[in-house]
Amino acid sequence: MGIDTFDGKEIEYLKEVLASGRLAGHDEGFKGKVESAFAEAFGVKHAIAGNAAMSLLIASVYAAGAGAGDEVMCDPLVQFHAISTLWQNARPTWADVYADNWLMDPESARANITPQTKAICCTHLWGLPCEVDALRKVADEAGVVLIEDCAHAMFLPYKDKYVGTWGHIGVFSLCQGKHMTTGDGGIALTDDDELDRRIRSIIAFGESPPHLATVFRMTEMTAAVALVQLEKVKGYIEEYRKSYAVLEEVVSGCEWLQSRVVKDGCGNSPYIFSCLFQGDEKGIEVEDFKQALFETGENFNIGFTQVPAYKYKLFTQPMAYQNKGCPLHNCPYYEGDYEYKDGLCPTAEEILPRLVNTNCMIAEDDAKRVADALSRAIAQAEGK
Amino acid sequence: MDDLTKLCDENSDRIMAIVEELQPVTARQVREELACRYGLEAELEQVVRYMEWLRSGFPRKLAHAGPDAWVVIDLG
Repeated sequence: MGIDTFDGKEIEYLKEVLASGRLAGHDEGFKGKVESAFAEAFGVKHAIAGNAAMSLLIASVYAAGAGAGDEVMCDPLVQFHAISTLWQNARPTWADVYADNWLMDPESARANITPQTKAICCTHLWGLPCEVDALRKVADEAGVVLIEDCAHAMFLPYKDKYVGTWGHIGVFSLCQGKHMTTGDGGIALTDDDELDRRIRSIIAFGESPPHLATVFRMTEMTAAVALVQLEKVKGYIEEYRKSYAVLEEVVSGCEWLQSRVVKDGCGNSPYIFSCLFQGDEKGIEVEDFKQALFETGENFNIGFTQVPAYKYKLFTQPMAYQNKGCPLHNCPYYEGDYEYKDGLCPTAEEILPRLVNTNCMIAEDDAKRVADALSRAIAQAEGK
Repeated sequence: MDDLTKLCDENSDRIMAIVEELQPVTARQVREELACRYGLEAELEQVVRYMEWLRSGFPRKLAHAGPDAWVVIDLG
């Protein structure tokens, strides 16, 4: 859990919503206000409030024009874009990540673009920014839409702008455990009028939609809380940056834990603190370190998901649509190779089982306790 | 292993089996079942922490299925 509090105007605004009797999100109410506030805070033309980041990712993939027979390039370290792609009956493809910061490699993205590609989805994983200017260039040259997954990246600077404003669409999460939360919720940003129209066209309708749509809109209660939290979130992130620094100090002093590289021009909106286990080079067994971390009583984790998302059966077997084969197997519209072979993203496969993670959305004092625990585990693994 | 202070295959298997049988299940239920079936007494916080470690397995792993709801999933 983060350090976020809900003791400000949240209750006042929620009472206002309930007194109004209009609980569904609407443009004259808190939904409209929170959309305007996000657009202004990020300096973009449009902000679209939804009931979840996942809903907005699904809508964004739709807005990018992906459908049966099309491809969407995804990040192999997480599965959310690939799931969004399946919802549009399209096929996920994958770009590898860098070995020094676990973020999408623009050259891998370029190499994997095909005539079927409609979008690239990149993740600013755990609060560090992708090279989103280079990714935007790749997307523009290919004529595809760049969707930035900013679920871990609220107010995250990259060069002279925040992430979420470099791509064609940026999607932020307000679910529990994110930098700012409303329980569930999401915000999509775009400067593109047509993408804004297309996203809105499938996330809400009253009675008879002109095409396939559903209801993914944000409620007034959610928007009321979001509006207040938006004013507080930069303060939370500032504290998390201090916590990150405390943890980073321990890792930078260890010869066999590799820090994530924060490159020039890159900010940090810490979400999960992550480093890479390299102890095998020093004769330290990963299982020994795992046990040492566990015994500290703090919340560490080694291995994250162990394997890239393309090894999940959701993507390797024809199960997404009632085992009928769509969209990955025997799809009459898809002409590419639908097998995801081992070695598809070698760097992702290499680093995933060795990632050492811990939550760093904690107060600095708590981070000092976690850092002490990490130091103890390092010493124990080294036999000291 | 008689407690949850160390990671071990036996306790991991026990927890996976309980969750698989009762899913979706709360950590509190898992704690009760560990005590009832194996005489393994542990604080709720310790059970939750142990279960969190079992989220990083592949292909079988524990997963959250909503607030304090746990399931076993097979991703492979």
